[in-house]
Amino acid sequence: MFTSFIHPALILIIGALILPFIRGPLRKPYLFIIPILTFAAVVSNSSLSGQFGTYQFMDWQLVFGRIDRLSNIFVFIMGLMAIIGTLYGLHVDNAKEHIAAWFYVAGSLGTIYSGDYLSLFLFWEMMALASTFLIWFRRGKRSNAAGYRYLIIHTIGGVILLAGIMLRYQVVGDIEFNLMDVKNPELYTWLIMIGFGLNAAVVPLHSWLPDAYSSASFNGSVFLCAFTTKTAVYTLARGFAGFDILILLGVIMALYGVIYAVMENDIRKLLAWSIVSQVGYMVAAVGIGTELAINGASAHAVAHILYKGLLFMGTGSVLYMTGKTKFTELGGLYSKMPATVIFTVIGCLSISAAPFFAAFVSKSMIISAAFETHLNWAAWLLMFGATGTFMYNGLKLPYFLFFGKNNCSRETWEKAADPTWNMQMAMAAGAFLCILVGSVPSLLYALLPYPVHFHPYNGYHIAETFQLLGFAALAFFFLKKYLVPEDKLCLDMDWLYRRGGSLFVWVAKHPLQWFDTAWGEAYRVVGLGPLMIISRFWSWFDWHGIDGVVDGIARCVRAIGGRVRTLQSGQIQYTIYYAASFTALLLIAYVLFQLS
Amino acid sequence: MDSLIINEGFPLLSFLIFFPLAGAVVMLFFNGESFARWWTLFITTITAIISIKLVTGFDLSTHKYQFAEAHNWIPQLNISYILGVDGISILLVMLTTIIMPFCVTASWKYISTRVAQFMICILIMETAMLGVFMALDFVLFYVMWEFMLIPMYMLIAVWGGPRKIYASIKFFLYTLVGSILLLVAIIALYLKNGSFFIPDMMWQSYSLTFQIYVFLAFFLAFAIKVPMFPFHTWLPAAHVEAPTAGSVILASVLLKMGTYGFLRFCLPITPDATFALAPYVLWLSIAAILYGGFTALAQHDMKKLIAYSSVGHMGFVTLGIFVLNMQGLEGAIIQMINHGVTTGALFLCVGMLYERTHSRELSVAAGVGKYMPWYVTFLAFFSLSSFGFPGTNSFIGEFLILVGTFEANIWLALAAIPGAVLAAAYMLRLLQKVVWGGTNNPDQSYLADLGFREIFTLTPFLLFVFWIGLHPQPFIDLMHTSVVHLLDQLTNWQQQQNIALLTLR
Amino acid sequence: MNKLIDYLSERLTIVIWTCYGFLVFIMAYSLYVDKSHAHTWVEQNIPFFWSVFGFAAAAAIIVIAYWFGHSGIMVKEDYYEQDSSSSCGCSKTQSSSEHA
Repeated sequence: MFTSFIHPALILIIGALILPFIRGPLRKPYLFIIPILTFAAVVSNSSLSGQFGTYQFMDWQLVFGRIDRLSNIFVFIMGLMAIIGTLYGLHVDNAKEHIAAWFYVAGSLGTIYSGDYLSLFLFWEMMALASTFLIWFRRGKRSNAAGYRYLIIHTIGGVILLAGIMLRYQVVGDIEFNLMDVKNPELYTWLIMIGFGLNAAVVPLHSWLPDAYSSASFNGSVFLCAFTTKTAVYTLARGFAGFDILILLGVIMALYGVIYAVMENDIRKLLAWSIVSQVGYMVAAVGIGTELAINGASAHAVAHILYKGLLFMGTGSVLYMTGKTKFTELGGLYSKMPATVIFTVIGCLSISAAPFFAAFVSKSMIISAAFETHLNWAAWLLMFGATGTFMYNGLKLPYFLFFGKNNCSRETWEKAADPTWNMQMAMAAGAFLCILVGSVPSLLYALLPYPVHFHPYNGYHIAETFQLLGFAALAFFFLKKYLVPEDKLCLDMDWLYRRGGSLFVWVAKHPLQWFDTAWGEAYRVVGLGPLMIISRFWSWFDWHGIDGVVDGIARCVRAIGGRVRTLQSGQIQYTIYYAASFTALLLIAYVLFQLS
Repeated sequence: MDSLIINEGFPLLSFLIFFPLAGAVVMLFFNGESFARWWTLFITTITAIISIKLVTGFDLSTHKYQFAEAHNWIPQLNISYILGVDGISILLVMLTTIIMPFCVTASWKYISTRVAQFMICILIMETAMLGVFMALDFVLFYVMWEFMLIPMYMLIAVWGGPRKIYASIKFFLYTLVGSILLLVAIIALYLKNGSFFIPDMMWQSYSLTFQIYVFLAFFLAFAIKVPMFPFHTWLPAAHVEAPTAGSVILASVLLKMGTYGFLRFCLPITPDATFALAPYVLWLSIAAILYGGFTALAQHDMKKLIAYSSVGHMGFVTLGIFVLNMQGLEGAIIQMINHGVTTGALFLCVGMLYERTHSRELSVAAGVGKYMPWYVTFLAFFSLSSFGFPGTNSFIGEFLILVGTFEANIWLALAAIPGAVLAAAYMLRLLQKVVWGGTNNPDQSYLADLGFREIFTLTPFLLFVFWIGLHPQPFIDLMHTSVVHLLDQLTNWQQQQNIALLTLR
Repeated sequence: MNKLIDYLSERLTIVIWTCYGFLVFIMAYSLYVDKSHAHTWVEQNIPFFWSVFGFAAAAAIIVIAYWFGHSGIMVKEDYYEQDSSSSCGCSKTQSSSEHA
């Protein structure tokens, strides 16, 4: 197509800014077209390779378009998800939600394409800010608070990232965004990793994710689940591939997410914990760092975006139609929302890595990579986690939501139905892609950064998967009663800053407040008062002192003039008399002077 | 004459100077109100657009006077008509031409009586101001210098506030006193040199006593214009009583003539005196910065507050000039432009508020933010710029000046810092009172927010605030070569004097 | 699809026995499948390895989650609201007094 680089984020930003002016029947086609144009730009850029869109800003070279296979695959799936997500929310009337979503995607695309830290940071913050609005647009009381927490945490993460970037610039001297020296990590390496890791919800910086994603609007979550975390995975893959601590962190994430998801009652919070868990796989793969591992991380990112988007769309449909998100208020919905059930179950099978569904071809890459580098402990733990994934996502979620005991109130039951055409179409597209990726893995493998020598479909792998899934299902059915959801809140590390907050408030209210009041009084009495007194003095001085002199001179002159004026009587004899006397005096003085 | 690059083609500078005058003459015959406004707007806009050609055609690599024109005027007295711009004056010329159309749009509704005469005054002022910045012959310079006194006087005396007679006469006489000594100095220089051509008078070896007298004469004239402490008291009176356009012209352009005079005349023509007396001038500048800050803090008349803030800002400019190093000089010139933009904009804002409330008192204007959101947005940005907030234009100027001062003398820089703090104090106080007020604000609900004309007037100022603040390089590039040349000449001079002293021993 | 589910739920015992049969089939298949792709010794040599692993892992997760949740992590739904409302109440009065 075009031989030059078109930044897809630009299309989205301009499209978002024009959106409020497109009303009425034009809006839905417009909403549909802009993400498609963005995706077209992405596809056309994928034929290029290298650095584009460079811009010299003062001392630094900003690179807005760094294209290689790693960035290509990520922008590809992001662009695709933008289409599906916008289609899902096509009927939402509030233009601001779409604008926020598009700015969010633009931030993600910009981050992935950026070749230097400065433009990365710009788009990073764009993502954080836009996504906060997506949370706020649900407009519940809890959403407001959750949005603020999200914003504060992401701002802190942004500050840490910025500190790392500046420190690194001081040490290294440039702002290029490339692989860090992971064998010898410095302070700035850790800071930047923490900054990226916070967005990737690395434990212990993960609590914002379930909090925020379950509080967002039904279509906001579809966007949220895809972009922030996977963009962070990309940045980790770009900058920290092979950084060993990530393996440990990834495994911890994977298991931590599983345990909390199993306990969870809110369907979307369960999925959010599942994000933590699945991103853990990707983070661990990045930590492993081999070609197979990075391929696995990228493939799993693509698969994850597809099936997590599908799952959030399914549960979002439940939220949209019934207004409820808790297992204890839902259940037995299969008869009222059959299409949703089918799509959601496809998503559940995808995340569980069932054969012919998406994660089958990607999760195994990561596990193989772990085994191949002899990190057996990690591989076994990740398989352990995979079993758990199937358990809560492939069994618990569909069973307690759609089948099982019907906890619906009559009102909920009345409202439950399959959602609008655009939502179903978006889900169908997602489901189709999940199955496509799972069944024809070569399509996905062709996009991967490194050459692929991995073949997921062999008898052994299928046998292994079926055994795993089958017997896990067996265990599920035997121990079902221990899994019945309870209407409870699960405390997590955010307890520290949410509960800890009230201790902080006590300290602020009592000792600090006293000190501040005393200081303020001192400032007023000792500082402000004398300052104003001095100022008023100088102002008085200016008027009475200096101007007194000036005006005084003027008044003097005028007075003299007034006196002299009276001399001017107009009678010529007096004038002659004065003139003659004056001349005589001058002559005498001159003669005397000459004589002496 | 070899310091001139003669402009062979269209006489751009003469056109810029006399085109507004021609426009004024036309208005002698057609003096309808509406015609006067549109015609003046047209003339000033054309002048501004054509002056852009100065920038595009400006050669950044030479320090000589460009677009020069030289003709004999009164050969018997060696008076010539010589014009030219260099890096130092081009920015001031652009400031003048670009501000004028906005002065006209700001006076659209403000001036309702004798509109045609007002516009004639404005056009004559533009002629005179441009003439001052472009003149390279001393007589021409002096003529233009005096030429702008009359229209300014009339601007204040006819269309001014309650104490307009007092203010206008004070302004006129004050400035005239300085100018008299300027004339004496010019004649003394003519007697020494035999011509009135200014570049030929530079870097000559006059005796130290002669230089000091000439410097003091120049200094008085320019110090009154700047205005430096303690010769500044005409400024608050003039600003308060002048109409909005008059205040803008006064603050943005007229005050710069004083500092331009320092740069163009005091430094090159009397360098020994400059070196000898620079410390006194520097401490006087510090006094101006602090004094302006304190007095501004005590004001409750908005225009007076901004007038005193001008004293402080121009103190920074003279500080930058007399530290005699690269950053100081460049900072001073940039700050001249910045002050023109920002203080001009602030006077426009106060004028807009005055048009609505008919009072300049802070207490009457308290709490308008609720009803005039556009207005307070503009006001906020200009206030931030006024005290040198990073990202705005004044930050660049003040920063450069402070760096230059720091290099010259640490104590000076430390003494200047409280001035910056005071600037923040009084600007934020103004902003706080106007935007939010207190608990007993007057009822401001009758206020209408900015109209299209007013937004159109203010927006270019805001644009320049951020342009210079974020990307000052083009502006610095324009002046750089000339400043380098000036500094080189100064250092050479200093070295020559040192060598001369050594050889004398 | 509803019809299908209703059809199956009427014949639940048949469905359950079919599932058990499928599990037995898988176990048998695993004995004969080509294990050359296996990564570790345990996979290759222990029969029915993955079946046991799947069952044990799932059971372990269920038990761990149950124990973890009931040991104090699961609390009332409005745990943070009651906490923030008590502190919010104080700060609200303070801020309102400042405004006055």
